[in-house]
Amino acid sequence: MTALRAILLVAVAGLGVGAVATRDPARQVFVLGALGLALAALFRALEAPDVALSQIVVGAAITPALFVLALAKVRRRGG
Amino acid sequence: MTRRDAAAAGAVVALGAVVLAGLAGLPAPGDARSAMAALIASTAVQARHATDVVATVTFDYRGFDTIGEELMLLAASVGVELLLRPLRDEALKLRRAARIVAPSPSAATRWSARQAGVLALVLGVALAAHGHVSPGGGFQAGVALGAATLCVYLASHLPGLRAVVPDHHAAIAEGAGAAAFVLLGGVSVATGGAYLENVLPLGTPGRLLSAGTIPVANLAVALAVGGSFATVLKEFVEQAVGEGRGG
Repeated sequence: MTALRAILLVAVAGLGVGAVATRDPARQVFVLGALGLALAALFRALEAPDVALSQIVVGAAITPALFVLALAKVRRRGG
Repeated sequence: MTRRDAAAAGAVVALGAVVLAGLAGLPAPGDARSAMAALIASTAVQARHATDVVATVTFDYRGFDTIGEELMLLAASVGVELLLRPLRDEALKLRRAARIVAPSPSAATRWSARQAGVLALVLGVALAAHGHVSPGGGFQAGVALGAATLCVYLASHLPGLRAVVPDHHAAIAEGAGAAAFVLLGGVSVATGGAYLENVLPLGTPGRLLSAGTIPVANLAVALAVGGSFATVLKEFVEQAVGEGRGG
């Protein structure tokens, strides 16, 4: 369990940095979705299944979807 | 390295040191070191007949504080609704402009979104119904229902979304759920108890019909949260696709 937690902590840190380092917003959304999934797995590993259940949907599905929709609107107006 | 970079690096190291020092002082996960944790873990199931003690804390012991948490999402969703409403000139422009036709989803997207949508719907109903027995509850159920609405959009675009969530139905569900939650706590107060204190028969722990008011609170929250996410999603989609509301 300790090893799993360590792996997930590193994954969350790595994906967080990755989300900041990705410059193209459209790609950034995918990194953000992966970060959301990794966070949900981490919460589960830390014995917080209630929080993991909220996180998996909000972080991996709904937030990225709202970002994609906002990007679509911004790009259409710009281009 | 410029002076600005050096200053930024210094700030990151200083902040990191403070965060790490704070994390090092936390108890390990699953370590019931605090007297409150030990007390709740040993008495909550006998006292409240809910096997998910998290639900007992949020929907009974914490009482009035939970209202703030529940209404936070409602406030955010109302804010989105206000910001994204079509203004008078915007509505006119939208009506004049030719409708932008979004490309219809590919067969693969449609198929995957349908499977995921059915799963999310079943998961949402199960989480709302079993929130007092197993991990989950109203909020988790609501976000799952929101994800199901997202899948409807992915599978059939705006017409599908409008068919499943017509007019202001999502906003009405959101308001009705939030009102039901506030009133449920009010019933406890009216009968002389603390806010959200149980007023219903407790039943056998672990059964679907047990834990008194907790499942009722879960259903109200599921309605409010599901409605919030569906409302926000629909607002975003209508803005992104470029058709005004009823435009």
